[in-house]
Amino acid sequence: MVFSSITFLFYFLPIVIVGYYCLSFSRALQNIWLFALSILFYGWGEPFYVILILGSICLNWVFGLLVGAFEKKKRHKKIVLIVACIANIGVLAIFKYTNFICDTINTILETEQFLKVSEISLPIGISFFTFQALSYVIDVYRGDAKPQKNPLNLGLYIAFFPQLIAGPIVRYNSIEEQILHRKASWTQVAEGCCRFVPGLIKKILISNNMATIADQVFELATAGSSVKAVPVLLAWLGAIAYTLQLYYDFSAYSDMAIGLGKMFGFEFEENFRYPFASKSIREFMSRWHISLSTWFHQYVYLPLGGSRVVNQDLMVRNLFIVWLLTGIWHGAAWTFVWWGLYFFVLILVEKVIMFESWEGHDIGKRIYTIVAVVIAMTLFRSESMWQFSQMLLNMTGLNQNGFYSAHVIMFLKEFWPVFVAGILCLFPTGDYIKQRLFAKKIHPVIKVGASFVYVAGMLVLFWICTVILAKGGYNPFIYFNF
Amino acid sequence: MIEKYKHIFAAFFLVILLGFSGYNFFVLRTEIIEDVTQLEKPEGVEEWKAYMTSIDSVLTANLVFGHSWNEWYAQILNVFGKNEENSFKYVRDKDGVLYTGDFWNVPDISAEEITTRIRRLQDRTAPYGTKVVVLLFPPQYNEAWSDGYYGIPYRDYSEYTEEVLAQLRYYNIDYLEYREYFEKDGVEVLDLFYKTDHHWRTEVAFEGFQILVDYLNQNYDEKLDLYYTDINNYEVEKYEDAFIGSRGREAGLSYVGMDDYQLIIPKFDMQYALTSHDKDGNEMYAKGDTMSTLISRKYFAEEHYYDKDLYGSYLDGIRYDDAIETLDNPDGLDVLFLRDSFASPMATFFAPYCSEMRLLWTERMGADRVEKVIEEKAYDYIFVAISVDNLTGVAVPYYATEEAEQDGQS
Repeated sequence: MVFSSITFLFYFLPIVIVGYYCLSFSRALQNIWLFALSILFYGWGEPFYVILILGSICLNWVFGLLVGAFEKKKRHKKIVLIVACIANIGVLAIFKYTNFICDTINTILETEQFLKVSEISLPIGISFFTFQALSYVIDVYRGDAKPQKNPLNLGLYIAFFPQLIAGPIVRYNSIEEQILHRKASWTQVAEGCCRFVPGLIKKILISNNMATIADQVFELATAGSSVKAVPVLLAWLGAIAYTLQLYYDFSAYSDMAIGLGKMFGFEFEENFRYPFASKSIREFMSRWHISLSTWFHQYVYLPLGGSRVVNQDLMVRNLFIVWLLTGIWHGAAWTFVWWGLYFFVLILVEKVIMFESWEGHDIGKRIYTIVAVVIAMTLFRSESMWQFSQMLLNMTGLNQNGFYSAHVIMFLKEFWPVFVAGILCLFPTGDYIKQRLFAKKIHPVIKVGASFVYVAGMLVLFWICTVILAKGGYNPFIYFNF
Repeated sequence: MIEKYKHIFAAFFLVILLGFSGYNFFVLRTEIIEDVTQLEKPEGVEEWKAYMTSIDSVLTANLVFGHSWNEWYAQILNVFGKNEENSFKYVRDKDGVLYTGDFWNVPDISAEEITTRIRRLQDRTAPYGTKVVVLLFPPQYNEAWSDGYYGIPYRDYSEYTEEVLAQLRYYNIDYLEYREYFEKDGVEVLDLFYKTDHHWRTEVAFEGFQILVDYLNQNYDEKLDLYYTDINNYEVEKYEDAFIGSRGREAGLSYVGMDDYQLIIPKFDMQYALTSHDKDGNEMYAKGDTMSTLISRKYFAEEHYYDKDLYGSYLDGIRYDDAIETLDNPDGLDVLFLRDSFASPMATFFAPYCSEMRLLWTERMGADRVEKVIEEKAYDYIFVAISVDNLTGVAVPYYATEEAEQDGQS
């Protein structure tokens, strides 16, 4: 089930909310309710893989208990941790990477027969819930959290529906306390609603419309310039549209997840913090999918030694490993591997030339960051390196593809409101407007007027989203790879 | 500290969310439960996913306010001045006509393959004296009559059509290409097509029927009686703003408006027996005059405009398999139409010339079933009757070459 659907909005969500608050007398029952509905949420789209997620919960619950039981036997504790890591990553590898590995070996050996396995469909959200499960076992191992004795509570942490299929990746130590001792208040519920609805608006009104443009342009590019030429401007428009699609889809899901969490008394950490306002790639990545970069930082980069190593070569190695894994985490294809390495190279070069310490040149830095990100997202969207090469050649005009086509003007004319909204919301425009409108010096009438506009505007936009969902408008789901 | 207006919004939002959900389920609970219980129960693990998807579809389809959702959607399109709807599914021109959106204009099959299939059909049936004629109904988008917006991707198979025509000539396959008959000076798309539907107008289909009869008389020396092609022998009922086609229903009435519709009914008496089969093989039988067999007024009686699918007046729009026996003309032609829905009004007008007429919706029937019908008897004519916009491998599935099957062409 996805958030941007009639089933979720007008069946699932009301049932969860009403049931949850009817059980306010018992936290345990509330947790059981949320866990049961989370499994239903997952099973709605992946009925067969419910077994997988339940298996993951049980296995990691046992690992957690064993790590706790061997508290004073460090060797045993370490063995359990290693086994847990192998088991979790093994499951992820089998379901996510088997086909990729076999294809790669077959390509190297130039045969289709050397390794042949039947297609394994990827369970949605496996990368997210596996990383959360690992976070739990590692946190218990490190003593940052206590072993969870109740498997349902652990199940709720791993399978909680708001963050189950598209993140944010919640680290166990950041939520342990909330599982049993959270306090849900009306203020929190209100904040949750005010976070959920903008997320839904971003997904349906901005991301889905950008997807329309990006999908067409990337598909045309796949044919190659001899079949369909994609002129320079159209290629850039497609690449920018995809960058906006990905950002607004991903950040929208995070907004909705954070909002839903608040409705049930949970506080999740932020996952996006205006990344396009960055002045370097390092800064961009520190504001983009924060929960994943934090996870890698906490559980991979720091254990490897991080930046505080005696030898700079080790720092480079650590950086390389983290970005290689980040790339692979996003999908089982070479494009994702190269995507991770692309960021590794850029961040390394920025470190070497101390790019961030250069004074001035802010506009230049921002332009560089945005252009580098758009190219990265083009690689991310490409189904193969060949498609990426076609897009890159089209973007640089080296594909005998011309400069301009009528489609460019048409796309801009048809989607201009979405482009305007999409570009404005890349930056903290809303926060700026809010600060100006609700400053102390502002006349109360204006404040009331602005409040009215906010409430009415949000309700109208929510209604438009509902209309589009009811109509069955284009609503792509981009997390199949994750 | 959360601002007051956020509290107000949250209160409104929750009231709307919970209120609407409860109201919707309360009003439509019977339909929802009925629809869900009618779904095929999953037997294997693999079927569960499809089952859940079907439930999802039921829940999405069953919303209170019915067609109003489409109308609200249309208003949104109007506010933003959109000329494309739902990710270029349909695109609009300056006359307000809705077309299929297509960035590629390349069908799923090569001109060589599609004509090879038709040539194979001709080779199989020629020994029995059957004549194969391709009836290419006009494309909706044509530079000669369409006035499109700059950059909008209208489906335009004109290049491909030229290739197909060249191949048809190369393979000595007879064809009647309607486009050239309608490309007159000053012709506009609305003279030929509905703006809310992909079909040609009934009166244009009648003209198409006249052209066909002339063609058969001139090229095959058929001596078909021109009494039936004279419009004076028909009652023409004109309905203003009466029809909204499938595209209009999707995009919304207030976005595209309504079409005028003409119902052309023969004044002469003719008795028919009609046997139809749906996709599951269920049979429907009717016997009597034109109005109780081939033409129906049932869609005029629908209350809501969205349900008045007037194009369905002739042969119910389209069915999988129709067999028409003209009881008053036992010596007429024996004809097989391998067709799409464009052929429905035209075939209805042509029926008086036939003793037997069979119509197969080839796109939905699959090659084996079509080939079986083709080979079961010696027809006088087999008409491959499809619109240029439907000139795809799916619509011509029969006698595919092995190469095409290996290449995965339809």
